[in-house]
Amino acid sequence: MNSDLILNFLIAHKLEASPIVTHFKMELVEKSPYKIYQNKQGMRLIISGTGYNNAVRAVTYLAEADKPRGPASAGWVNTGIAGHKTAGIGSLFFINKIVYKKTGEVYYPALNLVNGMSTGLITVDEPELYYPKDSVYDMEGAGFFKASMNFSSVEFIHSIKVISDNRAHPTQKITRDLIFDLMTRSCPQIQAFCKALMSQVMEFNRIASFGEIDLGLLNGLHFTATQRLQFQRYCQRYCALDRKEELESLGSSNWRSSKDLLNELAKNLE
Amino acid sequence: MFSAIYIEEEVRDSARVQEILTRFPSIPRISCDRYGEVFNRNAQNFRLQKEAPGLILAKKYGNLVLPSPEGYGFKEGRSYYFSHMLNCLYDCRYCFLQGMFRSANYVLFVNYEDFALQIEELIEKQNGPSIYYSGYDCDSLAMEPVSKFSKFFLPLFEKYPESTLEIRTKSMQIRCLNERPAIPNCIVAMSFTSQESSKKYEHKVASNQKRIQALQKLQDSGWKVALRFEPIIFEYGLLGHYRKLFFEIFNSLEVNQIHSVSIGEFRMPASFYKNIVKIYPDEELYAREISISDGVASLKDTDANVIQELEKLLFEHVQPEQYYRCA
Repeated sequence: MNSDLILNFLIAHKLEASPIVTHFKMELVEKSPYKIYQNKQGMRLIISGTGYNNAVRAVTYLAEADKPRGPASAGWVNTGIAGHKTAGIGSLFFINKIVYKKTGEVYYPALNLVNGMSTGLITVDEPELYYPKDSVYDMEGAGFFKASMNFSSVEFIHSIKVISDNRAHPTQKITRDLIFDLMTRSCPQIQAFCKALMSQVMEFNRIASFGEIDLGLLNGLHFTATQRLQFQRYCQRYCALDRKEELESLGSSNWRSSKDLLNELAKNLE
Repeated sequence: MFSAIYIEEEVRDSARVQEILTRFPSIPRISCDRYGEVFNRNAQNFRLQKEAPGLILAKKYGNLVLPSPEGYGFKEGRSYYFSHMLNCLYDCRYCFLQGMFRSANYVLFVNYEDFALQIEELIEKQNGPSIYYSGYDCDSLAMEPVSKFSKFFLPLFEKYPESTLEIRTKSMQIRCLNERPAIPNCIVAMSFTSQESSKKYEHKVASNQKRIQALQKLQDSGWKVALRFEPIIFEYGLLGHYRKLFFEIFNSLEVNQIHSVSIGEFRMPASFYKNIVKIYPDEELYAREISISDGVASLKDTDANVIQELEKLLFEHVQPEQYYRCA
């Protein structure tokens, strides 16, 4: 995994994923235990399989694989087909509330970047054939959101659902071609949203890494975990105070220990 | 105006909620059981949310009117504060709310009648004057077209002339006040920082000039006004900047008619300060040297001497009886 990954797609089935993979020019980078695709623009896609638990496991798998790249955040998008009582086939919804029917757990995706229709989603463990509520129905959304919240801020976690079935067009009528067609037609809207999300994630990561200095440059000084945090905060402060040159000058001097350097950085700020 | 409107099921059918929803027909409406599900959840970022906050319409339970913190406000009897709203339309970088709340969404507690009941109970218990501060967790007037806060609460205080309501604001939303007769026991307290500080830290806020004009209009209509110079944040040329601001303000207002003037330095609970540093690591204000005393963080460069010098400048314009220093 590289350090430039800024958006993760979670999609239940290969059929739903295929148009996204093609549209975003992704390539298969991992076959097992999950099929994972990736492109050069920082997007990655995992095929999770059906259901709440599979979604949890797939999100966790991707996030754990990212641990070595440090604390940089990524966006998370769950997309795919879903059902609705009345919404027309092909309607695209951004999800503003997710309820897991089995447990009643509730999540609220943010709408700060959304420019389109939004509605609630109910995640069920068995395909919903009657659509009792005026909501979108799927089988992964709640698991996806719950797991993603362990690794990212809620503002970066989104579900986008494309309606494939309703009371007039039940699940039995869904064909492979229909799935391909619905997801292909949704790609431009998904792309526009992802562009905004990725831009926000990049800005967030830029702020989070503000003032970061490569510790390796400091003549091999050893830093404890606490000292590392102290040093990074001093670096942020020097940069925020527009005193980066002083920081670089101090950093390039020969220090007997990291403690000496930290003391000098502190003293110089007083 | 809002990215979404979240509505607690319990208040969905209230007239106040319905009126608010009518104003925003195209904003997504999302039901929730309790506002904390959205407002207090983990894994959210105040800075990101501030770019497009949602509005949460909720009911507040428990003690709705609380004793003011020690040293808060002026001394005219027992003092209390109440918050019909959490978070502010403005985006002042020095604001403690950024570190107090996890969410930048606005929460509007719509059960004004319950607030009124508790205020009336407290007023009736007092043997003398008491003060009620609004605008501790929000700006009292900034959201007036939506909240109709003053429209509801002013008639309440009109009934109790011994009790004072202070409306703390930086807002230009004064039409609601000027459209009705002034109430002698209501004080509109406008906050100011130097023009330089304001430009640097007060985002989405009207200029000092506009705030002065609003105060002029309020005085002309008979409203009591007050001035809150806070937070004082050290800057090069600070005394000159405030000398200029004081001159502009006190030459525009009827000084003898000003209810009170206060100065307060930049300070906040250390825990809030630490939270803000996490979301604004690149902010110059939070990179400065601070001192922490009794769990309160303040800037080392804005010390008591600076405040004393400002007080001297202030006393060139106002009487010491009109002044208090914020604790």
